Amino acid sequence: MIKKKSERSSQKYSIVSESLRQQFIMAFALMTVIPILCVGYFLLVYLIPNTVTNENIFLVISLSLFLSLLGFTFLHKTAKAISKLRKIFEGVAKGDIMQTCEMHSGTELDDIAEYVNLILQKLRQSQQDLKQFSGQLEGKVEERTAELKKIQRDLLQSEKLAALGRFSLGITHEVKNPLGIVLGGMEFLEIKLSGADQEVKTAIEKIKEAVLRADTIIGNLLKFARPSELKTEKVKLEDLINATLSLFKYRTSSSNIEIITEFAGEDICSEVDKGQMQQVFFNILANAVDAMPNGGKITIKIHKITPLKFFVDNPRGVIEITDTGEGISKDDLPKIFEPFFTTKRDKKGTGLGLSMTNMIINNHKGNLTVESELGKGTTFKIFLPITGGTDEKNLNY
Amino acid sequence: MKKILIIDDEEDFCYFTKKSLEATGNFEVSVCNDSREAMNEVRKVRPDLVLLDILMPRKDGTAIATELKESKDTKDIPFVFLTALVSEQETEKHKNVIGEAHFVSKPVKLQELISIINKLT
Repeated sequence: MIKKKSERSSQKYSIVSESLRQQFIMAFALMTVIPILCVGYFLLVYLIPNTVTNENIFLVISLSLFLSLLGFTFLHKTAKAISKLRKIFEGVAKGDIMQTCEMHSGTELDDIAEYVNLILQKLRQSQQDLKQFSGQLEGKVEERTAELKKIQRDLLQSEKLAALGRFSLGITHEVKNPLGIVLGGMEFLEIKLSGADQEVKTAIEKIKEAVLRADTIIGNLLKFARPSELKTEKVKLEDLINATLSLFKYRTSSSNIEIITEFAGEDICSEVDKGQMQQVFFNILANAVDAMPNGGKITIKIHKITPLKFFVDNPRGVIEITDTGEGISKDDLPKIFEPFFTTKRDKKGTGLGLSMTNMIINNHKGNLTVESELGKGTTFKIFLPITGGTDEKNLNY
Repeated sequence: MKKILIIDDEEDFCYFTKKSLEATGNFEVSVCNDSREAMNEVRKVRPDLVLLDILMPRKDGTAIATELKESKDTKDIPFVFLTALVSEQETEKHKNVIGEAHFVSKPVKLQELISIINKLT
């Protein structure tokens, strides 16, 4: 379609050019004939018969030829300049705006050429601006699409959790009662069979463990069903991490795991529920330890970012927890925040830890991201809204 | 020997808890499965501590606890809610009705139960 249009334009220019050529030929002919006729007429009317000599006729013809040559030179220059302009316009019509029009015809067409150059320059600038804007627009569309996708994912996740909550609330009571009976029965048997062999005692112990594990899952479901209200207060994130680490010591004391902290020089505070946020750090740290059965390094960084989102300054505190563990496969990565997804069935994982962690962070109007590479390790980033200034309130743990 | 009264509609749970506590030799355990008879049973047994379920079909544990606290002859008897519905919201809801109380979640390990009984008696 575009090609046809371009061809049509080209034809149009050719027709114009042909017509110009015809006009030039006519002008040239006239410029040759008119001087001969004028001079001839002058000689015939005023000077006949005395001056009609061979010399005079030669003079008239020479004068006529000179004038014609002068006219031809002028016309040639103009035709050449117009042809040049035509080529430029043909190029522009085909989309080539990178050309420039160099013209020294000594006619007014030189000025037109200058204007053409100016227009071409402006066109080039506009095209560049358009390209830049288009690039920015693409980036913004991608960014917004990613945000919308995340919102959609979060919504689906919340709907899933809400449905799970309603379901779990109903069954919690019904399941915990029989679990109570099984555990009570096992403890009764334990007392009654205190003289039995080790095999029986081990069997009883395993059943009790299974009951308590089921109870933990039901307990976590209950937390989903009715997440407790946030009791927030302004807390320095650094203090909260340190408090969690002091509680976490027992998990790393026997293993070959080193914990490194890199905190920002400034105080970064956030309004959080201390208990719930410690649960978040604890869950992520526990996962990191589980991912490093042969030991490794956990690095905890705290810093501040100021993303320019919709031109609104929205500073956030970031807590990065990086391990040097096994990493998470690309297939598993999108599922790790889903309830009941676990890669630790053998280690009695319930698959609720990270989904609860994500839920708690979302409840704090924050968000949780994860990056991982198999064999290299995993980084969890917790983004939290920050509150200005430092509260001198001491953390009592 | 400490006297314990279990008020719970789950008969099997009561049976095993009674048997296990009694097997330690330190407790004498009575059971009441019908919550409507709970106050009569308390007055009859005069327990050192009551283990009280919350969600029961005819009369719930909160109502019984309120009566226990409001009656002159039973107000000094300590009680522990032993329930399958223990979450922060649930405990808060019941605390709003009867004030501070002890909550133990089912299923509970025998040692934990014994330790809380000993603490309160």
